[in-house]
Amino acid sequence: MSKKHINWLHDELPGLVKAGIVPADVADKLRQHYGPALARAGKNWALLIFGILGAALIGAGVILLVAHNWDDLSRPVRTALAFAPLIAAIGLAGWVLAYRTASAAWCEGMATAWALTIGATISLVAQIYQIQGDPARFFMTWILLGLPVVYLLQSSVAASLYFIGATTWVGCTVWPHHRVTSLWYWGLLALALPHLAGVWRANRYGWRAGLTGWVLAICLCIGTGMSLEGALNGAWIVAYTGLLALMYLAGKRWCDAAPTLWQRPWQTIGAVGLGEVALMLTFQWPWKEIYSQWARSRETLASSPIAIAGNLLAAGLAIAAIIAVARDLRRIEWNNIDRLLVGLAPVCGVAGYVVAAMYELHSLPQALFNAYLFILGLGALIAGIRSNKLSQVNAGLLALAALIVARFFDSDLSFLLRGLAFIFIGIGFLVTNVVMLRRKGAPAA
Amino acid sequence: MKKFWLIAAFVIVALAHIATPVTMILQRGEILRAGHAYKFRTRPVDPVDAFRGRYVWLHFEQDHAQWCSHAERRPGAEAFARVEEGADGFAVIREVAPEPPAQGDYLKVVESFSVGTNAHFRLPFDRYYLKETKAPKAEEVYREHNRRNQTNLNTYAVVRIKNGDSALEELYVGGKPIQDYLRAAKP
Repeated sequence: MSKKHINWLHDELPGLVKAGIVPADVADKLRQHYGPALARAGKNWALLIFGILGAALIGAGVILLVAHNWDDLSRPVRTALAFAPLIAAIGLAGWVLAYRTASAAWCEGMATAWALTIGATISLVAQIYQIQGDPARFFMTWILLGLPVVYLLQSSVAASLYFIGATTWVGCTVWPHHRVTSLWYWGLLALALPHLAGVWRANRYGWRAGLTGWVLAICLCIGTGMSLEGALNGAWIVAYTGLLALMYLAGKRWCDAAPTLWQRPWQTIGAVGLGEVALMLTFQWPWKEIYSQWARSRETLASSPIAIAGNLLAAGLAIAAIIAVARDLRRIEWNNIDRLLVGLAPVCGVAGYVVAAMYELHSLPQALFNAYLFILGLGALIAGIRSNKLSQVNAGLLALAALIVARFFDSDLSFLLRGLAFIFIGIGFLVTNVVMLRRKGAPAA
Repeated sequence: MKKFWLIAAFVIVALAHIATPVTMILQRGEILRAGHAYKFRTRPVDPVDAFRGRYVWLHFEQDHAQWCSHAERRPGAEAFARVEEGADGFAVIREVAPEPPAQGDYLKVVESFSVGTNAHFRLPFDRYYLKETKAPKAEEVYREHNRRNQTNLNTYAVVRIKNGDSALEELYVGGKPIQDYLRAAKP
């Protein structure tokens, strides 16, 4: 019986006994059988959310009043006001650590407030005292100070903010004239890995694993390219085909039984990202400058440790993905052909890059990725039909349609032919979906 | 025992969080107290770029100087600009080098680009923070006093320098601190 029904029963029993409908001993037996009334989690959550909302509104009102008179306040008063949110957050976090560590809602809420007030206080102090600084240093200070909050309060929301902060930091280092290597991005992410490992060990399908998984996967998609400092032009091709394939393969290996999309961040981002990257690589522009840059910089490449590290990182991601799929090669059948198809992406990425760097050939790697995207789409389509999975069928059709549409836009075919092609793609989608739905036994219309 | 370590870690983290902004304030206070004050003359700006959000973006005449070293110039690298007071009372940057000078005041700067023997750099104080509501007026005032082909001796920033570190003390417009100028100009 659900928590809600047990609570209802406990509420009803005294009235039923009083009215003589249920004897007292039977009521006791029922209570023993169904166990004690359970805490009303929904109400607690609602209370907490509205409590936080109310506090936030009062806080916002106070901030507005203070902001209105900000210039008329003396510097020490403004400084005290800048420290107030941080000290309040620390005080409340201390209370949570002492008395409410069992409540996820309290821990998460206070950790989020604490992590955010660190940045707010530092930037307010910087403004009050006209302290100059570059954004990269500000974000680095903020996230490094915020990291212990993740562990103290076991907060996955704070960990997600940390990933976003680290990615913002790496974005700031791309700006010219920075003096810290952006490769530190990987070191920063590694600092939060013990929290992720703990979350996964506890429940890899829980909301914490879902939230941190989605945020980290999206952050990796943005931050990886920016972190490849000193890497050769086009190294991103090798890095991203490797990274996205790794994400998909990891998701498939460890989270394959996830019932909802929210619980499948790694395979979802991996598949969508890989489709997009493969589509980009069917165009000429990614391959164009690789040869000339490779010819220019191969001598200086070996002399810079940062360049070596950046290129090794890109190559390492692709090699790790290839090894991961090679280990599974013997066990691959039709129902898990997707692993092989995804594992082919870094192979094509490395092969395409080598050809483009050595022989100044754009057309060959382009043709390779046209063939790859076609095989990826067709493979997903066939595997989806065989296993009766409509989402997989549609993903395959989408990949094929994207390929056809892309090729039609950069070809000189007439509008009539392009129009007809779009109509056929549309018919293909409709017919396949109708057939699949009939096979599943659902009404087609 | 676990609780003890948790509380100990909490106290250390909380102290670190409070100490960081406190250190920022103390460092700046030390430069303001013991640093030598220089007046840096501002220079005309692109009107669109003058105000960015909550600060006035300052441009200075002293943004390049002679590179006095045989060492290779690298954009983005840290360099040291020797600062002196000119005959007109404004700061003059005599030279830039990869090492700090043995004597006199200097600023830590970041090289941006080179033209001939001149090294261009970004001074470490290029923002003056203001309240958002004062933005339009401050922008207007700053622009008025920094027009092209106009020499205005009354618009400058006072910066204190100590051991290569700097603190922007005040921005003067028309000979007055910008806050006073804005207050006086209030209708």
